[in-house]
Amino acid sequence: MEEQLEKVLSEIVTQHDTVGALLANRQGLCLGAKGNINPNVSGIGMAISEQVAKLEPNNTVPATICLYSGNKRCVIQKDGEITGIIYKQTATTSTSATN
Amino acid sequence: MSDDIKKYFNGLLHKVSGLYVIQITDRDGVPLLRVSHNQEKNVDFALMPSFIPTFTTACDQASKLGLGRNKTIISMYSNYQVVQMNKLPLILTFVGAEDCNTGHILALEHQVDGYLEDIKLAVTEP
Amino acid sequence: MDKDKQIVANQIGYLILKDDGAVLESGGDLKNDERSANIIMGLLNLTESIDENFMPNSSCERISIDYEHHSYTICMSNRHIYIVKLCKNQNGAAPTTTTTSSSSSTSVYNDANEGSSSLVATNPASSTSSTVMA
Repeated sequence: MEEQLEKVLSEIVTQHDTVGALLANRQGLCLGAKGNINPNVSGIGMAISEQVAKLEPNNTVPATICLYSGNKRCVIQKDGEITGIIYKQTATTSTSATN
Repeated sequence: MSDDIKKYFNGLLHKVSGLYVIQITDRDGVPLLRVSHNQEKNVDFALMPSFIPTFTTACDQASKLGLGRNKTIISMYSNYQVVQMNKLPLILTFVGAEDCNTGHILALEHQVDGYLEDIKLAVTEP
Repeated sequence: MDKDKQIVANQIGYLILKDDGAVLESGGDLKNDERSANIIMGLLNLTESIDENFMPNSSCERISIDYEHHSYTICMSNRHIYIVKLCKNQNGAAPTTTTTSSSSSTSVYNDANEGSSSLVATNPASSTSSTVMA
């Protein structure tokens, strides 16, 4: 039933620097997760994408949200009913300024 | 100390959009702490004498399914959703809108554990 | 009249907030935009505790919100919150924090560092995921 979903998730986690990925439904429940990511994050990730959607409610193209912390990044994108969350980690702290 | 806990739960309540009430009771439904939006929907049903004991019974029955101890029951209604967590001797109840972020409520579980310990002590002490 | 503060070249608006959410300065598109300020405060409140195993609580120092033609960058520093709304130039001149390749399709997210599209799978435009999203 969910093998398509699993396939897509596996494809994502094989990408460069990617630690883990998950997909959440509109209830904030985890549809699937791959890699090193806690399925509980689906709720908060979904909440973040909903909050950002309030920023420009008239914009039809969904925004991509990226949270930076040292060499780690959390990328969130909502598309219709589904929210995708990806954890990324670069080997070196080249991403941005230090804390 | 109790003010502290109340403040913390009020913060949680405001974090999750569409959440109306968080309440902590003992397993018989005796209220220990309750935070709610003042002007929001009337959700007093969550404190009705039959509400919590029904959950306790359902939880006990669900634990007999052979899947281990039941931890959480999520009930969806046309206008509400109720998430109840078995933290014996405490019962944690969340009441929210039907489209409220269920995943977010569930993720609160491990965050509140530390605060629940204090209340647990108050319940278990003779 | 006081001129708007220019933080970066392609900015179209900015907001500077105190850590309690009070607007200290604003300009451009975001001039006196209390609504956006409140939404962003709500967002920061949510990002405080995402996943302690991945990012320690409140360690997030920068957030970017990327739209098709513009983006927001939010930085926390010295108990102040700096929000800049940036315009994405069509001629490929790169904004300071996020880069888009002008040839890419609309909602594919391009990573700031390696330029690989990381959210391809949640994008219905991508052929690999179209069956899932249907």
